[in-house]
Amino acid sequence: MERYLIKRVLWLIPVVLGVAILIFSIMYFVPGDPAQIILGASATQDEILNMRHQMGLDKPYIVQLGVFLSDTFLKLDFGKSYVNHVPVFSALMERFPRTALIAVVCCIFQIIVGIPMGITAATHQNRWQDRTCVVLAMIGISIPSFWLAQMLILLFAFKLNWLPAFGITSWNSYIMPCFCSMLMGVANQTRFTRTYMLEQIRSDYIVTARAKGLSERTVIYKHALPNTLIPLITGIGGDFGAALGGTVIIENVFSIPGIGQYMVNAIGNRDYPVVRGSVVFLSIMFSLIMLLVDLAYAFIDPRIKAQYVAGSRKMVMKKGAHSNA
Amino acid sequence: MPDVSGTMEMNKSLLAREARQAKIKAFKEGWHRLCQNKVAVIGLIVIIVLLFIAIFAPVLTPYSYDKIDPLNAYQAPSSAHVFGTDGLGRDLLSRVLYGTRYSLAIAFSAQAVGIVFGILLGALAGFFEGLLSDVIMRFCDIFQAIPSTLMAILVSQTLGAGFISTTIALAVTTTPSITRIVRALILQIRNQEFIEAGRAINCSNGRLIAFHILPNIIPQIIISFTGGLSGKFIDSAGLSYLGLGIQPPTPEWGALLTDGKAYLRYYPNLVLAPGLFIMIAALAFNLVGDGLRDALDPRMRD
Amino acid sequence: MKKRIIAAILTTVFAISMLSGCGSLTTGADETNAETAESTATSTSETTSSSASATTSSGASAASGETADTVTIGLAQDVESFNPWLMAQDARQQVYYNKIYEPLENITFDGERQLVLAKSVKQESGGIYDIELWNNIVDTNGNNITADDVIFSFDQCNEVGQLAWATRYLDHFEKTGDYTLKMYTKDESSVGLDMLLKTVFIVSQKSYEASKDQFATTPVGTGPYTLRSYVPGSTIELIAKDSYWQTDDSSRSQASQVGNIKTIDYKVITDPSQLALALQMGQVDCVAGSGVSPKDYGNFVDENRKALDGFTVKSYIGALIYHLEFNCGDKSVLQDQKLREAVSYAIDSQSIVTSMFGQDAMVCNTNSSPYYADYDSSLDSSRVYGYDPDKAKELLKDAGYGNGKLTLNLITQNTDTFTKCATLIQAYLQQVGINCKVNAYEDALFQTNRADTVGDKWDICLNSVMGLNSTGRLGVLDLNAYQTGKNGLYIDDETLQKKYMTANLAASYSKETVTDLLKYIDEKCYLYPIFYTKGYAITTSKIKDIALDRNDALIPGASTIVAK
Repeated sequence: MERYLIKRVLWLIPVVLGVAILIFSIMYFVPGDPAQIILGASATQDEILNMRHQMGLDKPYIVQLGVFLSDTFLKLDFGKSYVNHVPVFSALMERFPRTALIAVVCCIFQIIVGIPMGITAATHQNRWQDRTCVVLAMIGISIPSFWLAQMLILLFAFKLNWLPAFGITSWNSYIMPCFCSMLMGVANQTRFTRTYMLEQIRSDYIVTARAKGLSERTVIYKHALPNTLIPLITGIGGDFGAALGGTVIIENVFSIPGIGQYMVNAIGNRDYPVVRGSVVFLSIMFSLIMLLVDLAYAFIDPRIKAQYVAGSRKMVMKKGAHSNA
Repeated sequence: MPDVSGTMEMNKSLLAREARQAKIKAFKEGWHRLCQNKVAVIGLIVIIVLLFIAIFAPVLTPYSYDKIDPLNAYQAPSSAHVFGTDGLGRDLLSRVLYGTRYSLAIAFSAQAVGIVFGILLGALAGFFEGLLSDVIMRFCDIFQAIPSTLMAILVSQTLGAGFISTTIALAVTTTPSITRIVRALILQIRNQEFIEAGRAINCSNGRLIAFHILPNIIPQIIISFTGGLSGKFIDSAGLSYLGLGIQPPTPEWGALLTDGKAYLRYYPNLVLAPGLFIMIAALAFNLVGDGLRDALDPRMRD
Repeated sequence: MKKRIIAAILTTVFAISMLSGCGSLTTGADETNAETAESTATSTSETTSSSASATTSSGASAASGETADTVTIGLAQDVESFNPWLMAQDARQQVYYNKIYEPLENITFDGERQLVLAKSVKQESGGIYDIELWNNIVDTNGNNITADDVIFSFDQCNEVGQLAWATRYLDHFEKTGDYTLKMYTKDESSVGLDMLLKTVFIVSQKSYEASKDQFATTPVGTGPYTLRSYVPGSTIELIAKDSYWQTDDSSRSQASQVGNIKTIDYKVITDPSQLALALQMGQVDCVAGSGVSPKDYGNFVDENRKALDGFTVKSYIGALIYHLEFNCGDKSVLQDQKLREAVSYAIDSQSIVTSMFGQDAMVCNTNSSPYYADYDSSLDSSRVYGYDPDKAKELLKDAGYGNGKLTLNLITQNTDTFTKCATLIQAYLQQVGINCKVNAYEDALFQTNRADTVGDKWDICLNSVMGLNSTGRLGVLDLNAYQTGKNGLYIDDETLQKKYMTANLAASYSKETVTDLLKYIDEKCYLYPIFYTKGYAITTSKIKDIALDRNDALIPGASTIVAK
């Protein structure tokens, strides 16, 4: 098992390196000049060229790439923002917990609300519970999050005055952002749980269990549910990773200084160090999360654990389902 | 020496024919089951309606989608303008209807391109093991490690605005996951008996892939295709906002959504109208996708 | 097993593609322009009629009584770092300017020059100035500001490099005493002196070098306020210092007034609608910078732009003039003046303004506006190539581009105002048979395309520009700003350059030379000015009389503030 773990962690390195090279190259080729943005439209061409020289942007691609890679991975220095000279890493450290908090709450609710709802729908297939859950889920997927956010703010912050409309002044500043953010996740979770449970319920071993006279509760929770956990966990893991990079709109509407806004603003400003640093950081986080998901598999399903240990080829098929094969 | 080759030929074609017939039967059954799923049928009807709107948009719209009438800007819904008007007095209903073309076109082509490349890469990775497979999967890892929305922005900015670059930008986010799926499926299938049989009678790799393996992954592909479509609507909305997607005055739903975003409090119709259509389209595709999965999945057979 | 794998795969596919929808994208404030703030200065000779006519109106306010000692201001973005020489943006204008840091001089709301750290500025000869500092300036650490500190500040400013557009006018300093120095400027531009004196904040070398992060989180300045707390991305709190170095009240600049305001709270609200909402609900007293957008006006003012109950409004004329720049180079079909005239004749600017803004903007028939001291209203009364669609069609036919044959490429930024204006222009051009493709780009791409050296990226550029004076606004025409031998419109017109330089140099700058330049531009149809907007500084009725600085930022200490 340890060997598997080490192997997986080692695989992180080329992946993260690949991401770094990819993001560097993309930013290199994206049109737009950070020097021009900083100096403004009234700057002369001379001034812009000077600033580019200062930033090292007039060096050839390979040299810049080399500097970037050695700074990031050898010196562990993500550099400073072009726009305000704040070190990227410290800004990320400050902002990441906020975005992560929203993502974590999202995942927790996916588990405690989405899964039960999905199970209810599956066990009462085609009856009113099922229909309601499905309809609710469908609605949840389709509501534009910024619309929901603004409606919630109008209601809870201004009409009722229960929650703060913006900022991060207290813990309850996070209630509405988390709610807006989790809606889609919970809705999806409901649907998937329902689908997987339906699959399981039709399987032979469930028929056997029922034939044995086990109670419905036992059948569902002790036999069917654990078998759906594998794909569910994959989903939640993937959701968390995507949520890390995807809460921009929530952060914008609620004025939460997280990494979403940080990155998108930086892209607009062509603030290369910020974009690169953020993406590399996020990719490391995402890869670690997928690793955790894979480890969770081992806990849940002894067969999978055996496969990890054996490192057999069959493993590859299952791992096709997520990253870090 | 008896003429064995003739027999082998006959066996080959027998096998192939049987496989084909089994396939067709499976599809027919699947279709039958799908039609019994009422919700999925509704979804299908909605999609057909949307396609109809998209194709016949110029005829259906009461006003031209780019007819400006600045003096009548921001009208509330009325009998003259069912959805009201936007900031330049253009009829919102016409714009949303016309936008069906662009939104569906972008979503479809982005998914299609993404899936085609995904199949290509997945097939390569699944069929030819070894270094090629590993490299392809590592590339998938790398691309997937960057959040898809971010990826779409970056690619779009590199390529500029416009239909083709937006399609590519959105397709790039689909390809890695499809590659994984296809590869996983192929890895399963290639070890199954009828492939062994095919090999035994000297089917070339190409024929194997084209006639035996691909047809088996089609159900999966269909499901993935329909499932990912709704996300494409929303992604292209975001791109339009950044000036990377479709340019004004083309009324793509996402662009309409972001246009109206700032006026949400005062003229909610600006957001409700395109939002409604996005919701309906996404819903329809999801329903059909779910129905297809239920229909084509052998496990669901009772 | 297989089913589960597929299910797992599908989950991931669905999840990632669906959740990507969770994060649609936005870039925050929708009305920001890339223009760095360059405020204006009066001409060295005359002070003309109010360059910024302002009217204040207040709605009925709550009962007054004791004065309040706190003001809350909403910011659309955070400063992120308190280094004094980073690029000027709205947030920094609000928070630095004569609150934390001070420059040598200030330009007031009306465009007047007002000395702050400098006790006197005397011109010795063309481009050389004698500056004398007050000798009792101290910063928060108690360090005295000397001539050395001035030189140090300018040096550091150059190191940081983001204010190059201001410091380009400096040649060098010569220290002549502890508190006196000679400033040598370059270019003898009419804007040079003021650019230098008002843009660069002066700090103490000792304090700066003692700071671990170059004032990024702990600024030390000479201004009347100091930073008490800062949550990056969220809130800034300033408190008034116990004692301010300038003890002579008559010499104290208006912008450095503190009044009764002991505390200024800044809240960062990134969504413009939320910003307006917060102001409406009284959660902030004032909105900084570009402030409230026109669509939200209805919550604060009535149709006549008088304040509603509970709010105070002060209107001002915006510094930005929106215009069309024509590509006159040989890669563009608009190198033919007749075609440029055709475009001009085709556009009904009054109609554009009325339909887009109503009373909140004014048509601009020349490349200047009442904001600028050198504005000549006679130029503005009518347009040389005014709205005449028939004439436009005639010109097109003569030039061989009859109905539908001419296609032009228009670029602009992708914010609401620009895209609307571009679409309207597109419609007008359509009416005379010109096809106009509109490309609305995000800021960075727009700047890149506009500054492209080849000259084939656009035919028309819809842009908004401001400057220190009317000539300062027209840097796009200046050959010296470009390395290609052609100016920003891709031509090198000697006459234009001569007139431009005459209107630019301090020695020859005057209302007459500016008018001469503008007349020439109008005649050759190089630019098509469209409009300038009126802005409204809106506050809750807690603030009774609004005092603004030249950046249209609230000066809390100089405003009359009452408790609610």
